[in-house]
Amino acid sequence: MGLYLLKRILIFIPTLFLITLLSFIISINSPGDPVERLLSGGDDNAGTADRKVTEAVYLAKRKQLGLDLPVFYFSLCSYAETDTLHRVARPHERAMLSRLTRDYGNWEQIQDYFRCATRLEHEAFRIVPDSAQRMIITEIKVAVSELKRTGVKAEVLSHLHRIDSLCRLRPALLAPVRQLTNECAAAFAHIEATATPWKNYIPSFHIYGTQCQYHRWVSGIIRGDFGISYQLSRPVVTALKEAIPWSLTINIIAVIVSYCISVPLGIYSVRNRNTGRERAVTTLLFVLYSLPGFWVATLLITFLCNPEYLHLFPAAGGMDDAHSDAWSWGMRMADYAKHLFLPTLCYTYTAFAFLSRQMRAGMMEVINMDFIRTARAKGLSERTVIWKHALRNSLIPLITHFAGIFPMMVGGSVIIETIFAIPGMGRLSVEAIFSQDHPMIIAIFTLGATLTMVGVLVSDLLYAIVDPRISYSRK
Amino acid sequence: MKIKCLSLVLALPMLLWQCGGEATTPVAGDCDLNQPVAGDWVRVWQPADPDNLNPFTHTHAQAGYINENIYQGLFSPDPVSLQPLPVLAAKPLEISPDGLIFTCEVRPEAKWADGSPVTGHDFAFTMKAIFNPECNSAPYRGAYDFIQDVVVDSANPRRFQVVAKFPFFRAEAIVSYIEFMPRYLLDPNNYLGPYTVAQMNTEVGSKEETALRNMPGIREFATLFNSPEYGRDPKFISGSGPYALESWTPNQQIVVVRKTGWWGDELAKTNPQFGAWPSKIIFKTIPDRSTAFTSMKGEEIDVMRDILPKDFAEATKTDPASLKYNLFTPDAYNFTCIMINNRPNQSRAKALGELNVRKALAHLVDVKGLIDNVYYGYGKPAVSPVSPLRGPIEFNDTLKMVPFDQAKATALLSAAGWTDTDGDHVLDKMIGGKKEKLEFEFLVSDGSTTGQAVALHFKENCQKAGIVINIKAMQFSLITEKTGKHDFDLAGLNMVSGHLPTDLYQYWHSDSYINGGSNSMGFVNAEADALIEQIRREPDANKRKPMYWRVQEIIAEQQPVIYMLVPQERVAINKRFATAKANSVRPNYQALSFWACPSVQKFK
Repeated sequence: MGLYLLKRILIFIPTLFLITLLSFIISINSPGDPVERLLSGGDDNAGTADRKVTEAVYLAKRKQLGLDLPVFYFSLCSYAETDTLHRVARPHERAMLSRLTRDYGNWEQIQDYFRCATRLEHEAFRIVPDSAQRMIITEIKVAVSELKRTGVKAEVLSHLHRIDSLCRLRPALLAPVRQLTNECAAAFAHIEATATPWKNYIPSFHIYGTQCQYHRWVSGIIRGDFGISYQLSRPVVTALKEAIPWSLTINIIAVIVSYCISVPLGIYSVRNRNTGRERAVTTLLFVLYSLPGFWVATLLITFLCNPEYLHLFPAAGGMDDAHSDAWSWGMRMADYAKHLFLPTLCYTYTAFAFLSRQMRAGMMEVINMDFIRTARAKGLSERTVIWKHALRNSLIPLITHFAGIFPMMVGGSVIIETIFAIPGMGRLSVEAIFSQDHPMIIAIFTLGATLTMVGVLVSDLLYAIVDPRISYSRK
Repeated sequence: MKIKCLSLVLALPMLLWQCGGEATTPVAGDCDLNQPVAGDWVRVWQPADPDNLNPFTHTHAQAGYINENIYQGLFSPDPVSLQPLPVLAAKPLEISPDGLIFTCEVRPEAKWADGSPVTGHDFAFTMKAIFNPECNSAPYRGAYDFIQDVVVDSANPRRFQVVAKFPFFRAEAIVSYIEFMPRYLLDPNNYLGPYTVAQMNTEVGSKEETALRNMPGIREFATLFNSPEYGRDPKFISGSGPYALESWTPNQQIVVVRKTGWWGDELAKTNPQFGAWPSKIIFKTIPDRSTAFTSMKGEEIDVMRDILPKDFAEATKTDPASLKYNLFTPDAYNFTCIMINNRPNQSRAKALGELNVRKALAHLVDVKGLIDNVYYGYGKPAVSPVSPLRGPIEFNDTLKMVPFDQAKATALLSAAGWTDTDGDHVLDKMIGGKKEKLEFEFLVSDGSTTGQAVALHFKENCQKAGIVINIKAMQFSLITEKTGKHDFDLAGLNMVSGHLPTDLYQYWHSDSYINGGSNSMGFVNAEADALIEQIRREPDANKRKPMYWRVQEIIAEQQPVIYMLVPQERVAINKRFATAKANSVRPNYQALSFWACPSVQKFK
């Protein structure tokens, strides 16, 4: 058993590594640019209407977050793709270069074209128009900026053509722009002439070493540092520490209550099987199980927290406005109880409806088995038969369910926590996802995965305890 | 037996609740309503916590609403007339004839929390912190970019001059309203002391900026300034205002508490503008608006804004005497519209580049019907990007709403060559040798029920006119990203403007399209560009009037967006604050001015 335990714990290490990797990759590839998001702020009343996120500010922030580094220790991509694409800051420019690479597969020439287009951009933006030329210059600037966004041949050619024809209207002033436009056209023609799209089908391997985003992140985790949340601008660990107790408290109570109700209820159903009472209980459980949590939560708030009906509980929050550490322990607990009663009820009813049904099904299966008949034939009382012989054997499905409890304990429920305004993990997770807060999302993923592994291990051990036929020791 | 146990479990919290005391029924009270009384708490609803409370690194509007109670500027706008009322200022700003030098003087009474006087050095420090390229204040820098230098009078440090690089129409308002940060507290090592504001305000990306980044003290200060402590710790969130941050319980509540012996207390005796009556203001975070409104009914919160139109409409039908709160509907500064991609690329619907198609779409929106049915009547049709609240100098009141007229829409489309040639009830046209159908994608936020109702209504009207609209609901941040990349056809948009003079640059200047700013529509018009630039350089409001009016005309002619409505804010305030009113300037109330008669105060 000890050896088995050790083996399982050792397997945790590579599993965890894979999980962190997966959560990292999923998170990084989720749509949205966290840098743009972070920089698009300000307060309208403060007069920050001009929120132009300039290139340099964008780059500095990107560097600060480490997003300019390659994602992983190595990359496996096509031979045509470059290993330096991550250095291009702007997502739309990266998209344009990727598109060109996919179509033509000759990075060198694409790079030349890109440099030329960037020079053209600088040149076009250098011109200060007077009123007579304003229209032309504006049109040129727009066309150049659109050129830098597209990798589609027809669009590239049409933009280049447009810039060229606009330049002809003011040949003297726009000569340098026209010159560069022609160079860009030549560079693009060169891309087409030397296209090697077959390179896209040949794999290529690049090694970046430890200078990568994943290494930076994982070495932080080893030190117990999950980084700084983009959204909250504070350490992820601190935010987790504040949120976990709320979800944990609600869940522990919900789990204890639901197990305490569902096990006797399951047994009750079996003992009274095929009676009207049993059918009533089963129907009730089925109905409870089918009621969606968000709906019940809304009903509870409307009818039990509302002076228009009954005002028995506070509608939102985890504690009273005046709650303070100066209060006595009893007062503080009473305050928490008052606030957490309805959310806990919402958690509990679905869990016990489900568990009772599981328990009933398990019991029903066991109760007809030979060893139960033998026990009865021995003259044991019905009470002993059920509680001592049948119960133990019918716990397996409940134990399987128990494995999922660990991650659920800290995972919280997004819907219930949002409706009741409980500052737990569910809300933290959903807010992190909505605001593309990668460090927070990855930390929550990793925590959930670790607890799932622990839960599975605990339930495996429990199997062996309740059912002597299951053994992990070497025979 | 089991049933008894269960009922005991249910009853226990109810008993505990009873121990907590019963809520008092609020009435206006029986005191003289012209004599404010200090005390009581105001509990304000907020949908989410701000990211931090540092006045120049936060990115949430909510932080600004909290900071109003903690930090102060030279003036603050009167919430109704928008006229600047002096706060820290000892006298009105003196502006040089060329509009480039603003001479300011701070009141001798004004003090920081430690008792030291507020001076021009604090103003200069604030500007330096904003301009420090290593500080996370980038989103703010653009607005203050016109400031060249701040010169503090050596003989009288309360007196200082702000020098502008060029005349800027918002300069006076911005100088008036910038919140002062305390130098003694935020830069105890005097890292920024050796630098002038002029040295700090370098051009982004320039050599000077790179050099500045490496100068002594710049990074050290930024590390402090960007730290979570400077954004959350009550020790560092401290201004000259009447309130101080007491505690921040994440995702639950932020509490600001009234300072004792605040410098403005004496002034408040004669000047009601300095009145700050509640002993505490609590900002309670409740993400679900329905729950929040139930809390409002249950007197768990005292002020709520942005109430769901449906909830608000229901409340107005109730007998006002039975309600525990007063309802207000001030006009909002923002407006909603459907944004059109005016410069579609290859992969997008090219038809939107045609003026007639955009105009036809505008004729297919039944704005009045939407206001009545979707917004429950809480709105007025919008005709311009300028708020009517800005008055006749800025708002062009000759503009007319585009009427809902399907026949007109069909006529416009057929004039542009869009007809149903293949009998599939969808209009089509040959473009570049290829048959294109009139089919658009409409992005709406998956969290907005009103947005989705508008989209459905629009889809139905378009269908009748032979246009296919595919509604795509997605996360709001993804919509922003897609529109930012011009990868969209149509999208719902809520444009917010504040109480400052309207700056059309952000949404309507071609630069804002070129550099990836908010002009996601791709509205490019050289005449409008020139006028917008002139408006920004013209300090005389009267001279700006014809320019403002013309830009609005051009925008109306070009139909880059379909205007929908100027919503009305929906605000509820608990009745015990009998004199409290809501206003148009967000957050739509001034919590610090609320007071209740002693007989109805809920918290002592």
